[in-house]
Amino acid sequence: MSHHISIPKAEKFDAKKGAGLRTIFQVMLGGGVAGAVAVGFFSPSLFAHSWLFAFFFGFTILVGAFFWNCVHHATDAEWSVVVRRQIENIASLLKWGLVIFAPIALVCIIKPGLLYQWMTLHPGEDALLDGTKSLYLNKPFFWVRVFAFFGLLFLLSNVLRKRSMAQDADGAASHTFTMRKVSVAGIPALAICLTFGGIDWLKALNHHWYSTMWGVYLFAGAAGSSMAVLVLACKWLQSLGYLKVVTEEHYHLMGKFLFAFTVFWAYIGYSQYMLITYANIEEETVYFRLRNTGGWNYLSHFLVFGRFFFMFVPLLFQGLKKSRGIIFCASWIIFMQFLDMFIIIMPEYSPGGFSFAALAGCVLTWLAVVGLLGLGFLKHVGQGYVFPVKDPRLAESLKFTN
Amino acid sequence: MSQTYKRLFALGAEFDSAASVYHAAEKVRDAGYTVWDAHSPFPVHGMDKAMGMKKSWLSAFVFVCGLTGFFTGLLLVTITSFGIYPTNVNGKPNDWAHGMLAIQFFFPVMYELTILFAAFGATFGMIIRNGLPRLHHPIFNWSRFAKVSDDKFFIVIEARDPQFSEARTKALLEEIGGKHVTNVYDLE
Repeated sequence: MSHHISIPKAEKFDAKKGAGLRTIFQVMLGGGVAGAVAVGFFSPSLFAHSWLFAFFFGFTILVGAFFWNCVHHATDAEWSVVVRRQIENIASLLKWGLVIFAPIALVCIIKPGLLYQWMTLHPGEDALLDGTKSLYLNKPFFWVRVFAFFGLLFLLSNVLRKRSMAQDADGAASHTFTMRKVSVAGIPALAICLTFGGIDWLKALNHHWYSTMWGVYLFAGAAGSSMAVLVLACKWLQSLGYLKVVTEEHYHLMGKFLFAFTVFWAYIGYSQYMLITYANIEEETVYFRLRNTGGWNYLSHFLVFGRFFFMFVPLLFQGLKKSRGIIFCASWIIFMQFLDMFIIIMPEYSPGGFSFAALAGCVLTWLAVVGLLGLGFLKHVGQGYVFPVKDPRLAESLKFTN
Repeated sequence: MSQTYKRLFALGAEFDSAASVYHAAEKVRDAGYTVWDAHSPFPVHGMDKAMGMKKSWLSAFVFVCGLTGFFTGLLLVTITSFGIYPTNVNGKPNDWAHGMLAIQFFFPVMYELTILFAAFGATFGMIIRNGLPRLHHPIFNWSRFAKVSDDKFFIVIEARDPQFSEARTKALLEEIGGKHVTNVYDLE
């Protein structure tokens, strides 16, 4: 309080300054696509699984960013105004959701048995699919859902970004009210899309398995890792001389969210594990029997220690969250999201245990998807102002203290 | 019946706005006072910096309490389940040699005790650190101070501050814009 707040100058991103990162993303995309094609010739099944991995990794980051965007408007938040444009730049990449999903769609059309066995089973072959489960797991409805999820997320996330950029021009408060309404609708929409998307694309890898905590487990990872991506995006823009309005107080708060979702992820992951273990139902325990035996067991343990214990203690410290140390924590959390998705998907490809082919396939497809999304992000950054200059809450955000 | 006020407790000054008390606090801080406080009807953002306050050590205390809770939970479950009363639950290992391999099933206990002890540490640590509970405070002997819960702001510099001098502190408080600068006495 009582500091005079001067509204900083509007900043436009100079595309030349992002040339270094653009080259990196272009190389990632080129190398990743070439590598993924090679993987496809080597083993179509490996290609299908690893692209599913890369797709879902990217999808969680985008949906997570959309979640933060909605939460910002729905709660009328003050602190996040200065970082909101970057949230929007990431979330609105959901317009490319169908693009990164396209290889999965192709696999589902050409050779569905590679990923989803239920697509190839005929009536009478699996008693489970002859019952009411077929009302959900059938091909026409599967495709309806694919288009519904991507269409809905594309529409909502881009309306938010368009309105936000329109406000940069005219400064009208009516945009804020519209965005708030869209966001309040967006939260249940993204919950449905992420939950049922997770069911359709990941859980259906073994259509016998079920877990009532699946959607919220994926959400916990998505929200935490996309906050980590946001931290890195802000730090990167600041290293180029932009976004100086984001202070250590904002990083402190983003660090608190990283901490909160580290704990929340562990809470949900543990609850899922404990409920399944205690109930001891054959159809549920199959998930952990596969992942807690052989080589996968070591990775599962590494995930628990790496994603929770290793991040829990450092993120307790205020000093770390306000310093450059947060860059390491954010990067580590993204790495752990990689591992989490890897352990969810790849054991279905290689049930016997960890294989380096699975890892190589995942790294290559990951490079392709991240390279593509990264280029889209750079394009978005160059389009508008770096932070919403005429947001009615900007002044509160500038002087924010924890 | 008349009361006798003896020992000087502090010098108090009244301010009309949050901005004026904020800038006054910066000047008191720069004058080198340490045992003093600013009072306001509502939280004033940035006041901790204006007063030159350092980060509270309460968080470290809470961390230690949480750690204590964690190890209390660990000992509680392992001593009872592996040591004094080994119980066979679903065939899970229940001796010291192998029980630790199934330690994840005991986590709810450790987790709850970590939270419980940390919450106790935060609550009671804060209460003790603030010198509570106490039934009365000498500052209430100053009748104008009642306005602190309404629309006035106060800076109170205590007499036990090493920098304190009745004349010079009074001059400082008046110089920085304090109104009704008053000697507040303790009740002996």
